[in-house]
Amino acid sequence: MKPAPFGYVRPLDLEDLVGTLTDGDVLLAGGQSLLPELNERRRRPRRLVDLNAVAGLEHCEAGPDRVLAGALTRHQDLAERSDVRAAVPVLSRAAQHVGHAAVRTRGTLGGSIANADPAAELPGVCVLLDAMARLRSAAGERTTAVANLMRPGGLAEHEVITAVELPALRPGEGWGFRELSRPGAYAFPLVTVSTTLLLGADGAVAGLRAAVTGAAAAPYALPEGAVAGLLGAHPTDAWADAVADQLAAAADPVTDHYASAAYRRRVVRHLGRQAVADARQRAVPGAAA
Amino acid sequence: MTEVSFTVNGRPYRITVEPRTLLSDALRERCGLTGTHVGCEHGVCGACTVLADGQPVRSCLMLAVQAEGREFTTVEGLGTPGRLSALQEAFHAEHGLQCGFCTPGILLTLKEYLAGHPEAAEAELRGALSGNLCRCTGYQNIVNAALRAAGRPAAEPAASLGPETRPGPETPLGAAIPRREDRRLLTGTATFVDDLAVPGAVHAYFLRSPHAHARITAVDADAARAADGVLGVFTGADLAQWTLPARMAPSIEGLVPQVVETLPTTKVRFAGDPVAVVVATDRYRAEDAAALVHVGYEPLEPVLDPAESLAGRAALVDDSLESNVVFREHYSAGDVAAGFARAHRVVRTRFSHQRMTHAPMETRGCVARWDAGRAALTMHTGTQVPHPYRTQLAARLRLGEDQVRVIVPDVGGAFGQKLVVHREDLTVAALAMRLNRPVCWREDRAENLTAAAAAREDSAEVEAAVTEDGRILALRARLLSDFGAYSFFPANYMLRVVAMMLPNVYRIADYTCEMDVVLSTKIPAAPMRAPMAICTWVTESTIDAIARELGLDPVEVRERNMLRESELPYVTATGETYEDITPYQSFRALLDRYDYGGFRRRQCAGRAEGTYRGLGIACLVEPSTYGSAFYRSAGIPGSGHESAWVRIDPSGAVVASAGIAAAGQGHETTIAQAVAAGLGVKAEDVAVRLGDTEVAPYGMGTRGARSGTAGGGTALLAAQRLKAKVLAIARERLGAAGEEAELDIRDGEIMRAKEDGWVGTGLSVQDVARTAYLDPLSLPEGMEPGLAVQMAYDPPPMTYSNATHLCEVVVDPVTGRVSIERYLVAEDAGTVINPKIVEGQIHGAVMLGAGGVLYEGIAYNPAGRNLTASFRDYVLPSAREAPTVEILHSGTPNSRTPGGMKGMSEGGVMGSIAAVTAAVNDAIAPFGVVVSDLPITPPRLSDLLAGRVPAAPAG
Repeated sequence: MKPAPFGYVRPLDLEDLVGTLTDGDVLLAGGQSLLPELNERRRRPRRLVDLNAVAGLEHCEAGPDRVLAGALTRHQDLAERSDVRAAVPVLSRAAQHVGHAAVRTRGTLGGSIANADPAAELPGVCVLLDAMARLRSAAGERTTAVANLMRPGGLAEHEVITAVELPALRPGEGWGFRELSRPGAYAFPLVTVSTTLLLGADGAVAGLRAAVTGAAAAPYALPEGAVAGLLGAHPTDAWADAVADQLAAAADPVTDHYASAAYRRRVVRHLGRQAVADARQRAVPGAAA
Repeated sequence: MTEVSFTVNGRPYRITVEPRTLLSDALRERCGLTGTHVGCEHGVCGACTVLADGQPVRSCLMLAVQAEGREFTTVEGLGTPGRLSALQEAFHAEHGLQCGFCTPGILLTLKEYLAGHPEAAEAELRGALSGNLCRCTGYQNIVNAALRAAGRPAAEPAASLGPETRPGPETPLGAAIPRREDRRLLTGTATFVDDLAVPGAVHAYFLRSPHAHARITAVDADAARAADGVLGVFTGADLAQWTLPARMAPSIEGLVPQVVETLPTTKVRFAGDPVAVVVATDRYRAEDAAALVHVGYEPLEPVLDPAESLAGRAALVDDSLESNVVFREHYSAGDVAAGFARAHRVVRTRFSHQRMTHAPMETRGCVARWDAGRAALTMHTGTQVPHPYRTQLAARLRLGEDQVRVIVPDVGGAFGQKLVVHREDLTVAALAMRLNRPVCWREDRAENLTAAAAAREDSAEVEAAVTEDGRILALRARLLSDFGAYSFFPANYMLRVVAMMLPNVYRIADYTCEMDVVLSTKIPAAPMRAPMAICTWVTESTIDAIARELGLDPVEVRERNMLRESELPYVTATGETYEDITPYQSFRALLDRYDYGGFRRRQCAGRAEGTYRGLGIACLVEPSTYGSAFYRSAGIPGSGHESAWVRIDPSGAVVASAGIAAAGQGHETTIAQAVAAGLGVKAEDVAVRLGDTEVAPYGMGTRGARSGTAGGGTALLAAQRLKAKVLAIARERLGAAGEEAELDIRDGEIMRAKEDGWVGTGLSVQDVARTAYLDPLSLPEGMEPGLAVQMAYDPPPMTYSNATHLCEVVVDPVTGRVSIERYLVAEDAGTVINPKIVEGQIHGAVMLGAGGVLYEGIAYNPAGRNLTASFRDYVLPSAREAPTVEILHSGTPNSRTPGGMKGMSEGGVMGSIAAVTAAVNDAIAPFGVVVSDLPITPPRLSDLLAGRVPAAPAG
């Protein structure tokens, strides 16, 4: 189980990087999903372009309004940095769930998005928060919602994710992240649900976001129509059930040899209830003001 | 090629690599640091974990070119055999390793984790360890070692149950000493087969069929032969000239003789079947060339359902046979019809166990070296049975057995997968001879999971005739086993023992069993640790079903049917003799310790709150050791004898050997203890040499829980015999003072009995050895010089140990997750050589069984393609899922074996399949369903319960 031969370059800055990209190139970030594919010869790139020496891609800054994470920000930094946790705690929690320590030290946010696995944790949080990806190619720069990159063709040819901008939660905004992973050492998520919740001074729901991974071809957010119907109410248990039911209704899961579609849908509902309950517990009434 | 500079363990390296060279390969092959082990190469098993700038990384998921400027720590940097680090010492003290293959990755993971989390609770530690797979230990002693290293007390030791029959701590038999294997395994200085540095070696890679069943129409290897670094591409036709096929044709009634080619020439019979072998200068190039081989296939119908084969509706797997049914037997004892005629009720149960695979952390592999000048082959491979392996290998290469030497290096787990001369092994040996070059083969994980060997795809249907109060009057069973694509073992090998053991510890005199074994287009079967294991599940679950249908308590039904110690010896319906076992005592003692009544109250209270708690009990007798008489009476070819030698060199050094071969069980330690006990020296003063057929005497190897009793027992007998000679010489040397005295050897000193104890004679074993070799004229009249004894011993037909398992689970009906809350085992394994080793065997066996119940399974799609070719999809339990096992020992000696030993390493699997399944069924009883198909993975259990409304708790 050894990779087929490939070329290898390690550009040192973005200009070099976008200047060198050509057909048959595959970008190497943390390599935690790519290397198994190479070793098993499921992918045979002509050349690997290693991003790890590109200046600035690992830079991550977190402030009161947002986290601006370079594409090579490692899961471990997202999980452990106190400034990231203060700004986007739901992202930190999700990053703690990724793989194991030896995966988090290498795996990157940009890599996770580019890999676009429908069940992975971090793209789900990006969809939840409507995070924006900064992209760079020889044609120039553009910005797009991470959600757009989760579909086939989202990332253009020879285009590189350089950074991801995630808006900070508001003070007092509650959040929840729940995951059901497969048992054993692989620990890859089957389904994740993430939520945020803003309460008005009267304790009624003023803001609600929720996103699901592992239950459709791509991560999805609670549909806007469903959100509208859930605002203004008090977040009772019945209300939490309604949120979970809406999340499950929006699922479009598959059946494979490990789990049935019906199971995945039930898990969405189950984790949805839990994640909403977590958010409710953390939400401070009046934070919406 | 790229030049890279980095440091490892403080030492600088500058190497030139291809861009694709994995860091794991660079460390092992270019830096010579073979302590970093490769277990899966897809980032799941964690064996290759190293520290990069102090942070853990999977070295199989980094390219060597990415190592530039980094500082790595590998296991070789943690400590040396002479000076272990505190973490390594903790593993040594707690028996935190068995085969040691996963150990380096675990040590490095823990080193980093404990530095940052010295106060981590056990659950957090298990989480941190859950990215490192171990197949041997059940993780319990690994967790204990981590806790010890963190300076916190480990879990309480196992409790002793009943009369303490184990010898005191002053004798080496029964001493829980640390293992002597550990120092090399903990420091990366052990030598596994892939660690052998063989100058001039070339690498073999097998091209395998993607089809379940297909005719081979053409093999075009021209492009591959012309590829860079390729020495040749060979097919079944080549191997047919150089080797003999395997003939599986013992004269057993009901067994269909079969012939298996070395590599298939006309058709492939499962996805993973090898069709060609590429030999190249390295593994990378061999794989490159294999991609250029074009094989033409004409697909045939896959054969996946054993019932279809039984009914004669499936395609023929072996074209030379008339049917896919390769074994059929109908066994009957007593008057079954009469039992059913007077039954109050007939309770029917059915069972289906999925196909599993052994998944040792070290895959298969070998290095074959041909010495043309001496016309001699040396085979380095991790076989469990070096001598029978040598016999087979020599015959199939048409060599004299004297021309073949088998050397077993350190072995990373076997569990029954490393018992035969695999087709790949034979091919590699033949290639070494043809090419006159050393040839290496190391199976990768995908091959191991799809092509090595599989086990346990057995199903059973049972009818029990019972009285109103739950007594079993008669039992009828039908067993069906899916043997896979080829018979590498007699097809009755496993199923017959299932049938033999079905009556278990109960009074069932009237019993009948029909057995069928069929071929299919799946991975061929091999015995896997406790090949008979489903027998316990079948019988114990039938008892539970009887209780359920009659409205009785399952404990009560066991009470009514179970043999009491006073009824022993007892001959079962299948002709087995139970003696020196304590099934009822173990059962009662475990229930008393556990507080069974208290559980039922907790269960009831939990159900009212939506917590589904369940309890499973499994009683078992474990057949072990398997003497020659067993094989003859069971109609299975084989010998059960074992051989050992013990010698004392002129310096007084004691050396011993036996025919068994270890794959993590600590045989070097236990053989040393047995010899020390027999001879009267300290265990640490006995050197043990195993696994080299030029050194070890011809024995039957390690399988069937025989190594303690057959291997240890023979070593004990040989040592006792040698001791008699030592004492005879000592008596001669002591002259008049020795004539009347009662002499013994204690810690290597010759002692004399006095009224109030033992006193030294001034002579030591060392003095006697010098006389024996260098002053033969001072020996007793007629005695031959030297001090060496070699002997063989054939143990009783069977030794039985027994155990009761108790498992408490909580089931989450929504997610389908089963968490094992408590797991208790009361074990009577007779005289124990090393209790810590025995405990480790129980931990590991329990987890192997539980993993099969809850997570593992080989899956094929309808076309017969394997869907579980990686550790992503073939799920081994991690430290997070593994239970903590509480053990109660008792030690009723076997009256027929040396020292009273019994075998015990498989019973944990038998018990846990039964106990975990029963616990789940007890937990979900309010939903009105019973699980009878394994595995009970979370999605399957959840699907089963979905839409069912649990009955309200009664009372």
